[in-house]
Amino acid sequence: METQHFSYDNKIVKYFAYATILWGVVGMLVGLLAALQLALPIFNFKLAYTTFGRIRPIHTNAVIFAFVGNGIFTAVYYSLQRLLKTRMFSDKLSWVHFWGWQAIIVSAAITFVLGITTSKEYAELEWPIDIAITIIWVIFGWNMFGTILRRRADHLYVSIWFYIATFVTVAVLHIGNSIELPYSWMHSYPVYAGVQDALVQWWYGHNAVAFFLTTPYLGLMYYFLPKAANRPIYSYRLSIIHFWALIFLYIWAGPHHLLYTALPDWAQSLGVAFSIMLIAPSWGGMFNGLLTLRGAWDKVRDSATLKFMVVAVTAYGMSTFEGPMMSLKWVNSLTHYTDWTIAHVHIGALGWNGFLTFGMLYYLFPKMWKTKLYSEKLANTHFWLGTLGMIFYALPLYWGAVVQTLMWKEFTSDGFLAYPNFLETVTQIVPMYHARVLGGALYFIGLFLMVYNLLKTATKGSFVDNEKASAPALHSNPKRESGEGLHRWLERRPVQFMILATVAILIGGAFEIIPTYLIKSNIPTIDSVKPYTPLELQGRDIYIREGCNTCHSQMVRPFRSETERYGEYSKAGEFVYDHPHLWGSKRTGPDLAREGVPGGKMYKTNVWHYNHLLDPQKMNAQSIMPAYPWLIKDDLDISSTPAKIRAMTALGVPYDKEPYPANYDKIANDDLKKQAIEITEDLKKSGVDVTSDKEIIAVIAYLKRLGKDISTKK
Amino acid sequence: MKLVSHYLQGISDVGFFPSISLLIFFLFFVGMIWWAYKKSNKAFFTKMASYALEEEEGTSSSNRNNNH
Repeated sequence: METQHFSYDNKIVKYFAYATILWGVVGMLVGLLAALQLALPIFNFKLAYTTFGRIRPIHTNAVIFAFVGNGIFTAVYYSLQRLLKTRMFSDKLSWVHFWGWQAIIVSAAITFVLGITTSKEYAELEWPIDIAITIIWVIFGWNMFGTILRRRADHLYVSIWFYIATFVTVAVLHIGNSIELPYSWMHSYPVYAGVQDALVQWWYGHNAVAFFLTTPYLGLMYYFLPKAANRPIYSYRLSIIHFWALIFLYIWAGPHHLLYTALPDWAQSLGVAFSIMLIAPSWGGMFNGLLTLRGAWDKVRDSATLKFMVVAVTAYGMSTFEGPMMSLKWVNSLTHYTDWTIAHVHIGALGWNGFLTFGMLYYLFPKMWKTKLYSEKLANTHFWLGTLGMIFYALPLYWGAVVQTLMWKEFTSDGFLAYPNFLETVTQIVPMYHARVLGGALYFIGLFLMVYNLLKTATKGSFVDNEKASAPALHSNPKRESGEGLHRWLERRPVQFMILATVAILIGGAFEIIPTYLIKSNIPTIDSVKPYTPLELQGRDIYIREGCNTCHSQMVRPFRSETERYGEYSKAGEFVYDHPHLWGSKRTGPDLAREGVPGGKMYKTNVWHYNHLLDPQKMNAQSIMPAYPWLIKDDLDISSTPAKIRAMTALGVPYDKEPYPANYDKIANDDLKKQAIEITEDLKKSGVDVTSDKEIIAVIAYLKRLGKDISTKK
Repeated sequence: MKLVSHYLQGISDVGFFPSISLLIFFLFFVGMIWWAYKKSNKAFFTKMASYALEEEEGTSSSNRNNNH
């Protein structure tokens, strides 16, 4: 067999690695700011651009898609070439992929700061950026499959299966969840509403965790852990079984984010069942990773790379055990909406993704720069700071979550809520928010040491853009050889493999999504539920712009502790006109689903809302809510009203039916102004002088509408 | 959305799809486990387990191969 000479593209790996580091620093710094804001609201700076509601999606997106995203590409571009003994398919595609992805990140940061968001968690980007992501993702896949088809190795190593599953599933998820109808060049409404929107969102949201944060990093683990430890994988057989089990099961688990909500019961139960089953394949991966180190544990003492990887895999095991536990309905009834969720995801993000990335970078830099790590001691310090940081981050939040959820549910012996004022339960745990800042800061200092260490390593060594390599040409027989097992044959046929992997995830998707489409008949319609008025619709879009839903849920669960606090529990039929749904996933502030019910437990007057939005601390000194003074200064943009009404009508909101007059979009602003004047006059009676064309009027109109539709009979 | 659900609802017994898919999933998975435990595959798995280590010549492969 003749030997062929070629080179590995190291330059693209270097660029992705640098991008990983840069966005890691940015994303975690923004995270630190978000943590500070929850501890001390003064850090919202009373500026629209820097309030928590806008900062939080910047943090989550930067860490997930910028830091981990570039981490994935670093791992793929490095390991794929070597596992397949070939250069990447096309340098041009590699560079379009690199710069395209960075451009998407920058545009994401800019649009979030400006308040341009769809409100859907981890899918907040608006439609033009969604399209750009699709294009760049396809380019990535094209480059990857091109490389696979030109390989000189016969078999596809397990890491590559994980990469393929990642590519296919993320594409399906992203497109499925981003189907939206634009009404302007930067804004859109999702085609799904209410319960359907929530189900699709968490089908996406959960699997973004599964297929963006987990499967590619398992691929990374299966390549870099054996490398760093110089050990073969403990069990290749186990890797096969847990791969297929993982991608089959993960896709069904999404509804566990919606337990006790208005989602139909059967969908909730399905989500729980599959979440519990997920422990098996997840722990299969963890054991396979840890047992790969059997007989090599002495190396862990000396190598910072291995230390990071061991803790990463352990954190993976912890959070994949914790996740299924949190999916049990009774556990979820306690943990949901609390900081337990935040602690849980940070065990995954800081531990699994962060530490595995650091381990990979500490391995890659000396390797690619052909030198030793500048300082092993500094790397060890990083490791301990990072580990301590994680502990100081997570423990206070777990503790705070337990305290708060028990306070929410505590009744006096007379049957009243022990803590009827939501704020009391927040004030109680604010010290935990301070402690969390400390944890985050430690982790960040560690990261900073890594940046210094790696840059020093790079200046010390010499980098080769194109690393020379050679391998025998591949003469692959596409036909199954006699005695060759199906899977072994399959591993050699990447296209067939991709199709099977796609079928695997689509089956789960179909199970979850087909009923979603049919759900309309499952949702009992409620006659009294009416579309939003034009002013309320505008107010709702401001609510979305400011990210109010990051801290306020709109979903009263059917517990006595919740109906006592908030009012009637939420019904599926209430949300049929909610494009998008705004159920939320965290209660940093109280639930707002029944905020507008006259005489209800949550009801507030117009003037209360006005003063509260202007300066929450003036109303409640202990409040940690940011102030929104610009809502009072800025004029409401009513030029968008007709387009919004038209878009909503196209999505099935009956603005084109009785009692609405024909061509309602053209006269909707008349109704808007009328309602705005009513609110302004009421404010005037309470001594507040504001003109009716300000944004705050629309927000008040929306808040006063919440939950009102089904309350009138009382 | 209205379009898609219209067509989906038009398929007779579409509710049966999920059950079929569950069955396919289950059978596929059982087949996978059977395959993974087939004796004749053992040598192949051993080879693949150290696949990531093999690609670079010059790494000390001798001590690895003796260990399993």
